[in-house]
Amino acid sequence: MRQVSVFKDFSDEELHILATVFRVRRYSPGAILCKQGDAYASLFVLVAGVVRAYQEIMPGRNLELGKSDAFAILGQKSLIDGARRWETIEALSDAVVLECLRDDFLRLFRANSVLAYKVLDFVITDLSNRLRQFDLVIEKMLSTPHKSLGSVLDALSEAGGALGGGTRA
Amino acid sequence: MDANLYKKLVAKIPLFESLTPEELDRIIRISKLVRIKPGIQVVKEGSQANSMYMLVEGTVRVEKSVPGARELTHLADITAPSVFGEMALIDGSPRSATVTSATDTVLLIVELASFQRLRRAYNPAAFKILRELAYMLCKRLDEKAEIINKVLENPEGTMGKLDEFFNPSDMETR
Repeated sequence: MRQVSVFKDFSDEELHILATVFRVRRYSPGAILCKQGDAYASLFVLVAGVVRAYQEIMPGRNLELGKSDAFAILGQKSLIDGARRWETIEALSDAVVLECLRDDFLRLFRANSVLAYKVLDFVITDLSNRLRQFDLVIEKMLSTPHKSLGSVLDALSEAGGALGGGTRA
Repeated sequence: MDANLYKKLVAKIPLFESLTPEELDRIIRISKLVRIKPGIQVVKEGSQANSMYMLVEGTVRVEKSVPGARELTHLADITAPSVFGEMALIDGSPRSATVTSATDTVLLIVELASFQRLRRAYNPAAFKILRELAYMLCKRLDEKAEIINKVLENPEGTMGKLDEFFNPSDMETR
């Protein structure tokens, strides 16, 4: 866990607590970590392997949100608001993931755990960056001269993981 | 009005609802009380955000520049008790709107540097506020995602109307 930059300054005791909160999950290529629309809320830390995130924007048409590899963090929004997943995350290789359920995070937070505060500290910065990326996407859409689906998709692709891809931890 | 009354007013602001009275005291202690007359610019659009404002008396006017327009566009009025500029506590990014006092106004101003000291000390009051701000960020992300999805569903029909989808409240807080 110390290899994940967001955890590198945690004390041994905090890492011990963290290990009780994060569960290790193993996925084979093609396995789904979470599916768009799922109400199941958690944060993922990818410790090995590669995953892709995508969103079905209309029946049969997926928007690629990007690939993530070791030490990426995914699902930050789900951890905070517990809302349905807006992306599907699929393993592209054998993958090992640490998963923190939202309920466990909230329990720690309510106990005034510094550990929960440290996780929130990272997550809120990431959410703020994403919001800024969304603004850029919308601004680009507004300024696109030829308003076609293709140009909109181009604007979205340029935004990288704004809609739900992983963030380097 | 006295400090206790201001504290009661601040406690009614949703951003601070989860704070205990002691935690609220902590936030009020790091704030600076400022009284201003009508017509004073409190926040300037585009300037570096380095404070959150708790409005405990009066009304402020929120305005934004629009390309091609010579005058600022009125987005909203905010009346006490309320808060604005709270997103400054996260990242200090530029202000998205101009805020001017519309009446005699009393503000409790929390500077980013003071809040950061609480944040670095892992003070519960700071993190309860940050959690509320994180919820707000999620809500905004949902709103923006909805705008993008509307465009994806109907690119040609929606593009010219995108600015209509912007929620004025979005402009008040950064």
